[in-house]
Amino acid sequence: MNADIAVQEKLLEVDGLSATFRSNSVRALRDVSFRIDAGEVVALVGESGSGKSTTGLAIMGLLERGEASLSGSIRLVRKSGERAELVGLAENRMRSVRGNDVAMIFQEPMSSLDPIYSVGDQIAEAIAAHQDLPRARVEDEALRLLTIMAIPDPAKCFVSYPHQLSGGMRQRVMIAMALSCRPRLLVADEPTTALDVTIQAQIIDQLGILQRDAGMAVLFVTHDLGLAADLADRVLVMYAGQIVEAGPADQVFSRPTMPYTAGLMRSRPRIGAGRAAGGQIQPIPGGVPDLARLPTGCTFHPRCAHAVTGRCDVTLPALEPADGGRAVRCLRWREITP
Amino acid sequence: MRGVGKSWRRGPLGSPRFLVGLGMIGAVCLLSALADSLARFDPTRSGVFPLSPPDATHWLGTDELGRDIVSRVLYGGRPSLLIGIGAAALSTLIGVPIGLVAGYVGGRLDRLTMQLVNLLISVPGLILALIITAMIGPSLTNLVLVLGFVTWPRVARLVRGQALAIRETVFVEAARAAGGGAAWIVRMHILPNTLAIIATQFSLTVAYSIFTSASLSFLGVGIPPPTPDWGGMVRSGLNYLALNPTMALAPSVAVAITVLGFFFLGSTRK
Repeated sequence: MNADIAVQEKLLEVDGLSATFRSNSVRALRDVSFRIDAGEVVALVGESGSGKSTTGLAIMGLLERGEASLSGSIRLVRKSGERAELVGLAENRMRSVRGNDVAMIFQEPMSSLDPIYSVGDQIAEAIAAHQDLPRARVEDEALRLLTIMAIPDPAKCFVSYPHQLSGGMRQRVMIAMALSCRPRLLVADEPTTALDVTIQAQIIDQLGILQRDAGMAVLFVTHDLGLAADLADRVLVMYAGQIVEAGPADQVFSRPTMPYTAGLMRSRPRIGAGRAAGGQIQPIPGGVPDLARLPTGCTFHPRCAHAVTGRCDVTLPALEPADGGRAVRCLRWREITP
Repeated sequence: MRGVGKSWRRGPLGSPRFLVGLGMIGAVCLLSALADSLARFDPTRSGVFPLSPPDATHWLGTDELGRDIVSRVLYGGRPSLLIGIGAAALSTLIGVPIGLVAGYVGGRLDRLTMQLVNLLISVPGLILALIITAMIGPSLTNLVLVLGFVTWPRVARLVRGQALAIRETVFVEAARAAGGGAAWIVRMHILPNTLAIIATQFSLTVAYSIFTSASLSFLGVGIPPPTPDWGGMVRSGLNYLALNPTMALAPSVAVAITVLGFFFLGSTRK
């Protein structure tokens, strides 16, 4: 999508990130490394419990210190040009990063607005929190953002309360709020999962337009492979707290290398690929492993058709470079790639 | 759409219980405020006809010192209302910040605070109030202080529970993601979302404080005589129940109406 951007400016670099929840010692993230360049859309896909939301929260510094311990590093190039290490950053400095350099939108638009304030108040509040503007200018800016989000009758929306708006409208409002401080990175945690497909398509389109116009990078957390393929430049596939495949979206989806990615692609319903065409849904056998009792060796081997006893259940594969600018975490990828 | 919404989603003003409560409190406040012009006798001046039954001059009769009971009930509302509202205000001022901080910060601070709160709640309020009042001496100010001290733990526990629930909502997480600090989130999101429950508890605390202050007066550690107050009047009236029952009954009814009124206000579902 952004192949025309000549200079690849590094924006976020996650290196060896691990997260352990204190209450049950579950390692939700294990050695997660990736980078996001300025203006790039990166999709983070995986099943529920694979650690994709945890990754988003870790970048935002929203995993509470008492709740989870982080190791590794998350380096962000801030608007000022300063490179900040976000792991272990003091809360008051992290606060100036949040909302300013990185913003986040959440999965549940129905509950992400405070029910007691009008929409306008909440957007104005978000603007005023990061920009020193006179009151009238703040309102103009809020109305401008609502207009950008293609909200019909922005003036009416401005004075509405959250319960008077539909889910799609609320998510647009949330996006408007997130965009109010012109972040360089937007973490979108399944922003359209709770919405109708038609609304979903509209919002994704708008998000794409805004992203290109503003040159904003997006980390798009989703379990919808179609959306990921549609929107993302690059894809990161997560399984059991690890990245198992990473690479350009077209490469990963057209010729998946890791058996898990291939399995995800086969378990996706498609129109026009009915039983007659031999293209029915093939689910991946088994379930996501318990993070507290991970299998030895490759975490995917109990569900993998290509697993070899004595190899896959013994050695934990590293994320190694593969063809087409990808990285894959599989011992046998050379043998099994057609 | 709006019409349908209105029929099931009434504000408190649409509830008959709330209106009845408001009417009762309004009447009590008005009568107490206008006691100077409504009362036909000085509530503290003794008369020559003690314990006379109700007649045209003294509508509810006179007490053991010949003082007009109607006048004393009218004036007696003032300390009761002052104590009730003062104690509730004090208990809100102490309980709300403690509850908000404990609920939002959580962890060890929360556990420690709640241990203290539960300890205080486990002692019956009247006994605690009785002991403290006996120690520091009865006066209007002391009663407000004592009752405020006895009632704040309930406010704190209630607010803490609500703060805990609101802290976990997505809009609070979104506020944090937007760079909001703890103090700002508590002020802008947690406190406003607990106001309904605080208002309810305020009303119930007023009712409880008036009732308890009347009980304290009845037990002999209330407002010192000769100032008329309802609890003290019930206590002295009890000795003359056979001679002039209105002496104890009239202030009892006044306490009942006031407490019930605040209870109605507070227990209306908002």
